[in-house]
Parts: sequence; structure tokens; C-alpha cells
Amino acid sequence: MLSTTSYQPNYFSIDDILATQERTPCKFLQNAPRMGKLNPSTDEKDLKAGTELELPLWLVLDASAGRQMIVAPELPKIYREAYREILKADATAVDLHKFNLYFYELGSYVKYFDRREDVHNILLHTFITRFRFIMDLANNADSDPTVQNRLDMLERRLFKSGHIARTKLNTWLLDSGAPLKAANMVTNHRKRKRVDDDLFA
Amino acid sequence: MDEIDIESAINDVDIDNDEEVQLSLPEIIQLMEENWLNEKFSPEVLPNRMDIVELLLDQITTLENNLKKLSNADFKKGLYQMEVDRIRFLISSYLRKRLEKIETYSTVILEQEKSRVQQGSETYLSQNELEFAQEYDQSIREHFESIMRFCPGITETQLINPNLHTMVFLKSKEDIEGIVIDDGNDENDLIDLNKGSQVLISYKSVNNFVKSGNVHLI
Amino acid sequence: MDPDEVEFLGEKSLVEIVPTFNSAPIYFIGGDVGPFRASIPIRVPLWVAVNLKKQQQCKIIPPDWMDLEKLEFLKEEEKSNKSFVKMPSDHYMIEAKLILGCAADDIPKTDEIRTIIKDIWDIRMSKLRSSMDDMIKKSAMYAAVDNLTLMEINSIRPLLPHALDQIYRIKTNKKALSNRSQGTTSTLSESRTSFSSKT
Repeated sequence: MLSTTSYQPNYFSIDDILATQERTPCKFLQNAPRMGKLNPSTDEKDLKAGTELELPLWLVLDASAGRQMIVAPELPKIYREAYREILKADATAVDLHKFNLYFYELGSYVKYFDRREDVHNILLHTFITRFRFIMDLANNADSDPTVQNRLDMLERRLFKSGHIARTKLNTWLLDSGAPLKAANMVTNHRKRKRVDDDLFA
Repeated sequence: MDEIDIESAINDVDIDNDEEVQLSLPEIIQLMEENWLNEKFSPEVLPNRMDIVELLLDQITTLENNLKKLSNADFKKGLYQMEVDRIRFLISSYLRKRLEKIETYSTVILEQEKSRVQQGSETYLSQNELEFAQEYDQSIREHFESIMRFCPGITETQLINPNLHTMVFLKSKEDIEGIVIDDGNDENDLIDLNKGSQVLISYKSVNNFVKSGNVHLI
Repeated sequence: MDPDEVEFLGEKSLVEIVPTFNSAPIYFIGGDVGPFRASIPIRVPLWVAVNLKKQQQCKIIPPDWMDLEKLEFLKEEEKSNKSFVKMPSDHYMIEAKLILGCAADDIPKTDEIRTIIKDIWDIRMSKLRSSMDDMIKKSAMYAAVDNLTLMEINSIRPLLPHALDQIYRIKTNKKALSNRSQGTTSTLSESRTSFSSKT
């Protein structure tokens, strides 16, 4: 992966490997002979239909694909309604890292476990709502370094690349015989302004 | 000796390009800068411009040879040297960026080159780059085969592709009508670009214009 | 891109100097500069001007726009306008930094000019932040950035384009769903799962 490109999973990407490693709840629809070892709470040799387990996502994806589903996948709890409500209420207040290290990546896989598009929508909503927070974090070099602990890995990537670019720019601005410095009144010009669509123009 | 042979090094030179226009050296440097930026920001490797690279390399080699004749006391020597360094930076950064992409996407790039040859269309890599890509790809393949014998063919089946949807900034060099905005929905909004317009847009929407030189990335 | 690389591009813009020496032209690959006649103004690329100034071979004449009154006006315009005002130079920050950095003695009211340019920059940076937020909120995959200078565009890179790339990924993943039910997708991540089942 080029350092200058944005994150996109591929077979060799560690983040994708780790994301698909996450434990995902599922229910066996068929008896699975000699798979009893997967269930730590029993000594039986076979796994019976109806058993509910948490398995790595990559296994669940495979076992639930095709005509003859072996397991029925379920949404991990952080994508279920109770958690979605928390994100809808105020996504910026959430410690997403605690939800899951790979909130968006895992979400992009498991959202198909739900027929409706609720998970899809909450992923988009969460990312969009939290962007300002990430941007402000990346722009304020001096802000509390522990704040980034609340970001998931995708957000951290964005934060880090943004922060590095901002630091370089600040160095460039200061790095001359006589630095360009701000007047006090401009430092106060931080009020948020409502802007039009064509504002860049 | 003040008036050295530097003049002879800067006569306007013919350069082949699609329109068969004769470009002056300042225009060629401008073109090199644009191609440097294109290569910097485009997700995929672009058709090479080794014609410009070679031409500029010739120029700076001649100039540097001539510089040896110039007295160190001459204030112009430092300036000439600075220009040489600037052009050299441009070229090496350009070539390095291409190598970076060739290393990352070697298998895919080689496949595309192969199909370009089959279709009789112009290849994107220079001969040197092609050899490098083949050797690089070969060594990766051998490496995987020796340490991951249990996954045969992994480099062929697990391709790393550039993300062509990546967002890029561009400046248009001409008026262009009807560019489709690739916004991930099925609505196909169109935009027109005027000469000199600057926009942020998906690379996928404009890659043909980047390759044809109607726009350049910034 | 590094700010230094943007500066590299901006250094090609022309600036007027008054040389203190006589000399035949310099035959640069990028075009001839000169001849130089002492006290006769001449336009040269910025990087040449800075170099000559550092050797005390010239005075730099500030560009027209580098004038307190004009800048005051520009600042007011920038403040009262919701959108970005067209800057008098595509590389105003680079010109300001380099010229004020090496030729403060040639420019009247350097400190005031320095401050007001930074004010303008800061107002624009603050507009940029709101614009970025706005664009993300709308998940807009297109924006005109006509009046932004290269240094300003570069200041929102990689954050804005990368964030939009991720929105695009999240958005288009939805399509994979409808495809998937027909069993036709072959996304990269899926190929891993099929791969593991092969072994």
C-alpha cells in the first residue's frame, strides 16, 4: 500500500486481516460432525444444529455463503439497535475504539447480515458526523494526544495523515527568517460560519 | 571567459508528441512539471514521458559540462547550478514516484502492459521500467513460492489494484463538456469544465483527460 | 505533497528586481534572464531573485499586490464574502514568505504586511474548514475550487480527499449487497474467504 493513498483493503492488508478476525455471533443450522472443539463449553465430538457460537468473521462469512448455509450469521452487538441509537444520538461523543477497533471495516462486512440498511446507514452517519471532530483534532497539534484513543483504526489513519500534513504546513509557515504571525483578532476568528454549496468556488 | 557555450545547449528542440507541435524548452519544463504532478496524484501509473525526461537530462548534462568552464567567481555559476538541481529534482521525483507504483501494483501493471501489446496500443512503461517491473515481480513471486508453498499462485490470485475512484484535484487546460461525476450512486450528474477551472473530483471521471493532457492534476 | 514542493512550483513566478550590477543574460534552460543593467528593473523568477538578494546583488520590488492599502481592501472583501475571493497571485503565500523573509529591508511596513497576509490566510483557512465539513456532510463527490491557491488546496490534502474516498467506499459497499445476493461479486475481501476455503 502506498503511503500516499487512502486506505483500501486488499488481501495482504493487515487491517483487513485483523478486521475479519473479529468474533462474530452465529448459529449452526446443521449438525457439524467432529467440529465440537469449536465449542469450548462442551466435550462433545460433533456440533449440533442450533448451537450458538462466536466465530471469526472470515469463517462465518464462508460458512454462511452459498445455498447450503452451515451457520446463520448474526450482527455483533455493537451494530444492533441499542448501539445504533447511541450513535444516532451523538456519534461524536462515542469512544468508537471501545466499540470496535475496526468499526467501519467490520461493519462493511457484517451489514449484510441484516436485510435492512440500518447498519449501512449508521456507518455512513457515524463517519460523516465524526469528520469535523477528526479534522479539528488533526489541525490542533497541541491538543490532548489521548483524544485520538477514541478513534477507530480507519479514523486514526485519517487523523494521522492529516496531522502530519498540518504539522508540515505549520513548520513551513514558521520556517523563514521572519515568521508570518497572526494578529490577535484573527485568532479569535474561529466562529463557525454557515456556508454555501459553492463555497470553494 | 563569460560567454561560454551555454547558448548552444538551450536552442529550441523538437519533441514528438501527438499534435506534432514544436515546444520550446520552457514549455517542456512546464510539461515536465505537469507530468510530475499527474504522476504524484494519479492512483495508477500513467503513460511514461521518457521523451521529455531524456531531453531534459541531455540539456542538464550539456549545461553541467559547460559549467566546468565557468569561473567559480562568476555569480552566474551558482544560479546555473541551481537550475540544474531543480530540474534534476523534478525528474528524479517523477521517476521515483513511478517506481513506487510499479512496485506496489507490479502484477496488475504487467498484465495491463501485456494486453496493451496485444492490442497494439502504446505501452505505459519505458523499456527500463518494464524490465524492472518484471524482475521485481519475479522476485516477489519466488519469495512467496519459497515461504508460502502451501498457497500456490497467491500472487496471481491476490492482486493489488490501485483505487481508481480516489479523489483528485485538477486544473483544466481546455473547455471540456459532460464529465460524469462518479458519486457512488446511480445518478449521473454531468459537469462542464472551462479552461482554467479547478475542481475536486474522482480520478475515475477524468483519467482519460489526464492521459490526453487536457487537464492536469494539482 | 510537501509544502516545500508547492514552494518549488511557486518559485517560478516572476518578480521584479533592481540589480546592482551589470551582466550579460543568463541562458537558463527555462528561458533567458537578463541582460542586467545596474538600477534598471527587470523581471526574474522568484528563486533567482531570492538568490541574488541573498548575495546582496539586487533590491526586490514588492509585487503590486503587496501593498498595505490593497491588502486591507482584500482582507475586508475576504471577510465579507462567504465564498473565497480570487487572490491577486496564485502563489501569494509563497511570494510573501520568500520576499518578506529575505528582503524585509526593501519592503515598506513589512510587519504590517506580514500580519495582514497571515490574517487573510487565516480567514481563508477557517472558511476551508467549514467548506470541508460541509462537503463531507453532503457526501459531495465534486467541488469547484477555482479561487483556491495551490498551497491552500494542498493544506486540505490528504484529509479531505481521503475522507471522501472512505465515504465512497462505504456508500458503494451497499451495491455489493444486491450483487452478492445474485452471487456475482468478486470483491477483494471475498476472494480471501474463498481462498481460505480452498486450502
